[in-house]
Amino acid sequence: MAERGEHIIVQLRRGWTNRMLWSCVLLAASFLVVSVAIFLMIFDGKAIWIPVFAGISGILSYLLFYSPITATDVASYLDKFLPAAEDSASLWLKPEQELNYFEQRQISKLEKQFPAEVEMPAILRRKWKVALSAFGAAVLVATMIFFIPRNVQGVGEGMVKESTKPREVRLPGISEVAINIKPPAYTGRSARRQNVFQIQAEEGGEVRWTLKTSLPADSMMLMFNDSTVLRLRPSKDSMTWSVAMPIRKSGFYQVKLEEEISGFYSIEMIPDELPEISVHAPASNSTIEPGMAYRTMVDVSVIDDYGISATSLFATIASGSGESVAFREQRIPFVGFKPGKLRYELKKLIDLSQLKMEAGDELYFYISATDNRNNERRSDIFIVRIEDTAQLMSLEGLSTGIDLKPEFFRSQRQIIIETEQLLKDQGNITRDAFNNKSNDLGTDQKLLRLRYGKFLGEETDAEIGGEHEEEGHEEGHEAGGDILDRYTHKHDNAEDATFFDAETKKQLKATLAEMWKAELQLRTLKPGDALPFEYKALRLLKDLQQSTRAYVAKTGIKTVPLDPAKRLTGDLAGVQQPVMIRKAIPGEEKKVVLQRALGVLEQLRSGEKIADPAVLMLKDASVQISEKAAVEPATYLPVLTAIGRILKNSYNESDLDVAGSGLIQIINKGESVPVKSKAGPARKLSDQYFKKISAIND
Amino acid sequence: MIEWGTIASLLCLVLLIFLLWKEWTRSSRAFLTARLAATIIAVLCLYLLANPPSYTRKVEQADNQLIILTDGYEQDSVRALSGFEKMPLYDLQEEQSKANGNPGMDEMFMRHPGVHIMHVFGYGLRGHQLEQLKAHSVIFHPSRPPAGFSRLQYKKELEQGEWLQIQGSFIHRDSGRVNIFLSHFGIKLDSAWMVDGVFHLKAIPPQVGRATYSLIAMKGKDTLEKQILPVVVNERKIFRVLMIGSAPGFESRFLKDWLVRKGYQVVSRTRVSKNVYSKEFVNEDRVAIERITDAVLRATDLVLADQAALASLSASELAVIRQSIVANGMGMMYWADDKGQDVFGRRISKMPGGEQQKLNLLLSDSTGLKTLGTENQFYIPAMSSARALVRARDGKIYASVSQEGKGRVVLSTVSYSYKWILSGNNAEYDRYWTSLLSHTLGRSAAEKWVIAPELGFVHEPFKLAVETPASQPAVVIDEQQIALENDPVDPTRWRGSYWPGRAGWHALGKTDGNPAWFYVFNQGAWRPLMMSTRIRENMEFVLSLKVKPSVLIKQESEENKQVPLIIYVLLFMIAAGFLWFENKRMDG
Repeated sequence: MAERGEHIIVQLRRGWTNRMLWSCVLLAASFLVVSVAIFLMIFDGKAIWIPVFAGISGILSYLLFYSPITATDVASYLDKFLPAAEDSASLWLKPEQELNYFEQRQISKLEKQFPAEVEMPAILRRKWKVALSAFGAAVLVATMIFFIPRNVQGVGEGMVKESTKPREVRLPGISEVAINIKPPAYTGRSARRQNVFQIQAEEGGEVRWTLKTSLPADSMMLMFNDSTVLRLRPSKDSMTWSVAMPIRKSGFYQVKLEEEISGFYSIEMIPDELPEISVHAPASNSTIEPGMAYRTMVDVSVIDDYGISATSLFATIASGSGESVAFREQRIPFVGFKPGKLRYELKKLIDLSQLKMEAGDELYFYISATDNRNNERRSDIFIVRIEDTAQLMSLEGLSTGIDLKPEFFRSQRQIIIETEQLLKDQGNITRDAFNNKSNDLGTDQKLLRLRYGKFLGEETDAEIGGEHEEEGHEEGHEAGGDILDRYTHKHDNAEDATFFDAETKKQLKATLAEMWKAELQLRTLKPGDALPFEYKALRLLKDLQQSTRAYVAKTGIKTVPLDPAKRLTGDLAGVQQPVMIRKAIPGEEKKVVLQRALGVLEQLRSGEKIADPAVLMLKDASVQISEKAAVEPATYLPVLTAIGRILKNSYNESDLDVAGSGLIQIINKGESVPVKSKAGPARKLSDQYFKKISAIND
Repeated sequence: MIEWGTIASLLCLVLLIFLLWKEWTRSSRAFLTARLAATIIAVLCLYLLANPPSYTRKVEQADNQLIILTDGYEQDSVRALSGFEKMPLYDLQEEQSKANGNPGMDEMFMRHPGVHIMHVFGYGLRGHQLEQLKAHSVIFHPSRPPAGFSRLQYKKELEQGEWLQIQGSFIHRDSGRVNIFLSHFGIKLDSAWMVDGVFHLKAIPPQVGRATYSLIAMKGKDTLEKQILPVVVNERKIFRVLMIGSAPGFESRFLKDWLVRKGYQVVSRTRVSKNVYSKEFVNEDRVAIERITDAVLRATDLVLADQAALASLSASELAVIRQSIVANGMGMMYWADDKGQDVFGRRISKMPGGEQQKLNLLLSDSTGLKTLGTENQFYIPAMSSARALVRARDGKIYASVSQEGKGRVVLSTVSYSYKWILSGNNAEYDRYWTSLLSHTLGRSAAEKWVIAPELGFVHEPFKLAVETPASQPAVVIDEQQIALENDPVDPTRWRGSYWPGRAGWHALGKTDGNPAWFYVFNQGAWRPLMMSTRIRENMEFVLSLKVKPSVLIKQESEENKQVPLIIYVLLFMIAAGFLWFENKRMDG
């Protein structure tokens, strides 16, 4: 009996869950449609990303809309909102054995009167409606996006003209152009074929021109900007001409068919770049402090435009000191390097002890990368130094010269020695003894720190090398003090009243900070961890000691013996008067040629006839432009062509614009110079006045 | 004090009540209504005689007013003028198209002879038309100035290497920021956002010779206005510089190199020992400079020296230098770095504070320079005869210029500007010395033509003026001889006028052979600017008029009118007569 009830609930639950799922799907679809439309249409994305969008929309709508419906949910809903359920729908879910008599009666009554159709909960209906309308809106938006004209151009200022590439003009006799460009094998690029004269080729690539003429021709040649000439070889019928040449540099060329010469065509060489090496770690000069592990991580990235064939690390180990320095060289390969890729991120852990390096030794290394074309590039040299404790420990330098604080210095050294001894003895002594010793060392370290602290005017335990904390100052008092500080000159500042300059004090403070850290480790019974700080403190102290010394070498010089007879006579008879005469052509002279030519263009623009000197100015400028065009043909070849047409007197307005803009680009900016501005006209009257006044004054 | 009107009305009221009561209580009831009415009328007339009512009437003066419609007038503003229907219209635009030019106002005076007051609508009248209206009353009802460039100021003729500075304003009524571009052959030379309607552009012209730049106002991608801006750049003269030093120093060394790089001719003489001089000639032939003589200075434009070097010169050498400055307009700049004797009688003061200080200098155009570390710094106390060229932010002067006859003398106490170069601030060094030496060089006294207006148009007159020592300057424009009229007061001044027949560049052939170029615009170019200018001119003209027309109109139109008193007297007579007659009839 209860099965029917349960059945009702299960059915309802299934129906409602289905409806909820469908709303979810619809919502996800609407998200997907909108996002894909925006992505594809506006950003020109790739279709491969659509599944990602689908996933995101699915998750999004699931989070927004889905909530699981359990049988209990259905039952409590029925109890709550369906009067016919008589608040007893949850009884259906109870196991039959647990039902008492009344409940069984109620169930059978309910099953009889339970309506066949139960209205869907309002929340589900609302979700369904929302999903439906969202989908409709999404479709609408997507359609709109689809009809928006794509690639809305107009970037850039309307006035600055894009130098629109003019359609290539061929000689009338040439009917067909085929240019095969074969990049060098190492680039891994395939050969290509084009039918325009403008060439873009890889460095060392071979270009083959195959030109067909409409009529048999006598000769055809290519004339290059460096005045080399390349003759094309004809076929039997003298109608197909061809020649090949490797490209070594950028420039431009003209085609000469019998007596006719074409315009300029550019050749742009894409140069082969050297590999680029950037070392992210270690720093160019790094030190391994005593107590640190003897290893260093090398992290390099290597990039090349066509591929890298080999990369390795070349290490040089310098050991010994003074005059007995020995060098060893070693090539360390990068593990897992496979040649041929464009980009590598390489990592290598160098174990210095494996390289048989000891304290005081230095490792110099550089990275070398070779690309497919066998171009090698080396990185800068990096240095890794292992700090030598023996040097620190040496008494050299203490025995001589001024020594401000030998006593303290020995103490720090002593602390280190004792710490090391303690660590050695660790296995042989009891735990308590070890701890006590460590604590004692900490106390020693503290005493030492306090004694140094006195140099800085730190007399209490609370101050550790750092800034004086201004505790106990009342706010009001402090503000008053600030104001006072601004207007008073203090002579009795404890901070400044020491013998040391600011730099020494800074270093002393740093030393104290290291001592404090060492003490901390010692007091927390970790003498091993304290060791690096102790060494650091020792090294800083040593530096401090050295920094106060200056060494002046004794040198002997030999001077020309003075002639006492000549001395202090003031006789300069033999002294030459230095004279220098030079011609300096200002760097802007070349610029002035271009500036004049620009002025001439203006004359042409206003429709004036130009005289011979002006033509000469244009010719001078065109020489400079052709130099530029050889380097950057894509930018300046049109300018050169335009100037050529202007000189031939067969130009139009746009030629003037192209030439003018090109000239301005080369000129870049006029140079500012002091000028005598023309403001006052020749004042004969004021001259007269001035003369009269002067006459009166005289 | 009770007013007369109140007394009269009270008396009249008492009289009226008394008379009405009298009439009412009369035994005879005949004509009662008529009698009462007559009584009221009589008393009322009496009252009106005592208190004659007046009314203000708008006087129709349209017969002596005229509406002149000029370019850009708005119909609505004409309609807003009261009584415009009655005023005659004179449409100047129509006349203009009829006359195919810019007619004067003679035609208008002929057609409307009795006109007193002229209402000018639109952007206003042209200068020569306004001249004719001087004796009349003009009321200007300006239209809104058209959107676009409304003011423009720039130097049309520059020397090579001189900055072109353009200042102007632009009227823009919509929202959105306006960007002003200066471009040549499509390449941007400078651009600026317009702030509060004002813009400022700055560029060194790329060309030598003439150029017509484009001045473009843009909002986003829309071009609001594009105009032609003609600029002439004269090829620069290479100056000759003489440097006299008392000892070799960084400052003079770096300055010499800088001058050479800029293409100057430099002659330098530095004392290295007693009577031993190190001499250098750059772009120059060797000349004898052991002594500074007239011959040495003849072709020199600029002398750079230090105070000690000047002090060591002989009296005759100093006299020669002074003479060159005063009479030939040579420029001179010298450094003072000690309180030594100054041959030009200028004083310097030691700066308070230590030797090493930081200076934040400002050039004379108030542009700041990067901080400069000092050494043993002096400053120049302000003097009335000298103008500050370089000053610090605290107002202390570090270089000042004084006019000495035709030439200029600059004193500077900054003798370590090379530190800019050492710290890599070459641009600062460049700016500093360009400014300082430009002021030292002063102004050249060449024959200069003044061609007005600044922006002139085809088929409109240009005024030419020149001051020249030439006895009879001959001028040719476009192969056309221009006759010049000599100024009756100043014989060095000459004037003429020219009507260009075509737009574009025109060469004015000067007496010295070099042409002066000026640009003639097509009609319609720079229209917003011209219209804004015309509105301003008309406003100024109206303000300058002696008769204020607004006062005139008010006086005439608000005349007080009174109804003739005789009407009340007659009415009173009739009313009183009727009452008398009626009384008589009753008696009879």
